[in-house]
Amino acid sequence: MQLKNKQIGKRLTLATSALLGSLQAQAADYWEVSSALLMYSEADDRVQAVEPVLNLSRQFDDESSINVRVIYDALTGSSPNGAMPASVAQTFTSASAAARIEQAEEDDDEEELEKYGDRGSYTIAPGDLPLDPSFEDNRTVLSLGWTRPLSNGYTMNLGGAYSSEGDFTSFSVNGALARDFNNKATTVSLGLNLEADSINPNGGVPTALTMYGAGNTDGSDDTKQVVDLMLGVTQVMNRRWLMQFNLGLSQSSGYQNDPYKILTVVNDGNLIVNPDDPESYLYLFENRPEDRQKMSFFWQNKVAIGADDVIDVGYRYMTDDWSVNSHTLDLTYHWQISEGLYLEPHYRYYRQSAADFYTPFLNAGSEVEVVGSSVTALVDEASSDPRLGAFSADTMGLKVGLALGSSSELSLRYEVYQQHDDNSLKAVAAGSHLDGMSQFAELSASWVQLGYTFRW
Amino acid sequence: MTYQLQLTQLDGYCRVNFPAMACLCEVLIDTSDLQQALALGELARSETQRIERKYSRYRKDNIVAEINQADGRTVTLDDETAGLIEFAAELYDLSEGRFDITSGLLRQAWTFDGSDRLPPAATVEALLNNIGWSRVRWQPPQLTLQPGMEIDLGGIGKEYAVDRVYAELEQAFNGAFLVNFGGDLRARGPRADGSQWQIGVEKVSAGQVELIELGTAAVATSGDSQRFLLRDGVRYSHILDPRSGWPVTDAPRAVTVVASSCLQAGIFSTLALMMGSEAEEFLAAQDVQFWSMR
Amino acid sequence: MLKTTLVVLAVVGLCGCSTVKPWERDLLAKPQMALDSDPLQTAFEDHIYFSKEASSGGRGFGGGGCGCN
Repeated sequence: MQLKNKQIGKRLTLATSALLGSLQAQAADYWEVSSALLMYSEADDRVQAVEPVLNLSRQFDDESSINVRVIYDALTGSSPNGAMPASVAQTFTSASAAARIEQAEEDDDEEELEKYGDRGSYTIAPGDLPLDPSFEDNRTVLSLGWTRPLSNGYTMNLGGAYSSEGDFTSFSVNGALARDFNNKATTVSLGLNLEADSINPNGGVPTALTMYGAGNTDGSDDTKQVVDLMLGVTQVMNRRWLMQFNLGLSQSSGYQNDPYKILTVVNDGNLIVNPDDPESYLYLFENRPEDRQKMSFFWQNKVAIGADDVIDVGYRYMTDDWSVNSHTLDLTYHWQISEGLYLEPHYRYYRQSAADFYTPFLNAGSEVEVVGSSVTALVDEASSDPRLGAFSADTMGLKVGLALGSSSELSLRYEVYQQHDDNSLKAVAAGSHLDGMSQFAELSASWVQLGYTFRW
Repeated sequence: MTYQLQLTQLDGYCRVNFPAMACLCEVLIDTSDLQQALALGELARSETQRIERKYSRYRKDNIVAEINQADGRTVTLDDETAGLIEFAAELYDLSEGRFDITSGLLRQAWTFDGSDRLPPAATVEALLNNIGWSRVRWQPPQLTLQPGMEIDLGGIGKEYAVDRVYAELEQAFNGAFLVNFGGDLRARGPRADGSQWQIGVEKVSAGQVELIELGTAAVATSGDSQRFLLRDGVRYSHILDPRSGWPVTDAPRAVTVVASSCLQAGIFSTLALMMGSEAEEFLAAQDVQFWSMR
Repeated sequence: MLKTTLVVLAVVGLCGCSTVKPWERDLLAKPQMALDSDPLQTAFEDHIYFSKEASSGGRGFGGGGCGCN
């Protein structure tokens, strides 16, 4: 084509941007659409999840931008109910499944009955980890974000999110203000997030530390509020090195329990027959403090190697007033093999100490008073949730990214996660039901993430 | 009087002037804080002088001199210079050879003084042997010119300086400002009172000035105003086509283009002149705002 | 309207701070240098680790909006 009719604007803009750096405001007159699919799977038929995400973002001429994200999350499988494995078979009556069955009977929902009819109660073989097979949930999340530069050099960010599950609803709003200093080499930001959650467990909110199966509830729902405050500093160290520090404070108050988690009560390591139901053993619903304060420190470094490779090193320290302290180290290498192809090997190390009320089971006598059919917890809080135990975990993964043309990218990532028990063993009488049983279920999981981004 | 920097407080904004790049450099800053305006003016001046020192073809101690005196040897360029050369290489390709930083040698043959003295064709022909970006070996950041060849960044230097100063001020100052180097300018608006910077553009014929309001945008003008040759009724503009070694004929007297950066506006207006009689057709196809004066 | 005219004949001392010049930001501007180069991946991971570990947040807010207490 002759030059007089040829559009040279786009190439000229690109060449100018390359020369002047990224400073030239490029009016992005398109929607950037990112989509991804996560397939998450835990070993031993535990939780399986399929999670599609769609993200739309658009930049406007005045340098403001909006972002809309929809996440759908379908979870199935079985989840540890918190009880200990024992040398005898254990039968559980799932309150949540029972509630579903009751509802299905009321609605005359054959399909639902078929699904849960045989799961109202489940029996765990000797030596096996008690898993509740009725774990099933769908989660939908909608989040919105709006960023806009203010005339006095600040950038403002406002956002909100709504998340809904069968037994859980969450609303949150957040705002942040950022300011550049020092020729844009330093950015300081301060953000606030307010979250209000509502929990309505299947079968009602179980009364904490009361007998599993007794059906004591504290109403049908409860609430939790979270306030997060975050101070961040981003610093350009030199041409190849970018650094970020974040200090986060979080205050959570309200219902923090997992309403489906229970604890085994034993007498000298032996299961105790439930005084109300000779067919089952004695378990108590867990209880956690109503308040939790967390503080986190996050430090991230991005270092450019050569022309296109990047090392990403992140470290996080978190501490809370439940005595959980954790260290997280995250390493990623972005290896640009050619213009359109890259590989990203990834390693993450995580270690946490246990919450002070974490215990794999409760001992009758010292922790629970069992007199006839009267069962009274002597501790204020107790949970056997492995999330609150002491463990370390490794994640290893690899991502492959492929550019399809100039404006779209396809990526595939595979990650493997393995936990390692760091708890000290709680004493158990020799030859008892719990003798030799694992007190912490180390989780193994893997996931595949498929991503596709394009401009529209 | 020679001076280094002049600060003037005007109605609600400040103006800083300094001489550089063979023109009057002016920066308008939407502040009434004189200290701040002075500091920003200093920033603008020092960046302009840095670029002028580094890329002026009249100096013997800069990278351009080093390249032009390399006599066939390879020169390894710093990042900024490599960026400029890469940009020039892309322009050569985009303009199908019309924009060529090796064409400066043609000035040895052509003097545009309004007279009718055209150089002998043989002189031009001889010079063409040492002209042509395609003869250059450019493996970033290594540049090798054949002995006798020269580069000249004059065609983009002033516009580059405007964009660089704009970038410096953009980082150091949050309000509106305008950088104007002899008519090649770039502005950030609107001003704090909501108004836009107003600039005058000569349109259609000299003397008719149209005031335009400029938001966040850049403007550049290319023209032959007093620099041309006239012979046998043909007006030879000072814009030389490096492919023939001869000036472009039938070009507009001046072309003014609005674009998002001064470099882009400057490239559009220069290329438009090189299109001669097709200047307006070329600009119309580019979807940019422009004025052409014939 | 001209209010005041100041002519500055002297050169004011220059700030000697070393900062990364804009044309040197070519590397920092690459997408792989973004602090959060794949936000969807970050969201997935945050959700996974939120549901399996006692820590959350750090990079961003750690709420989670997830019933997996």
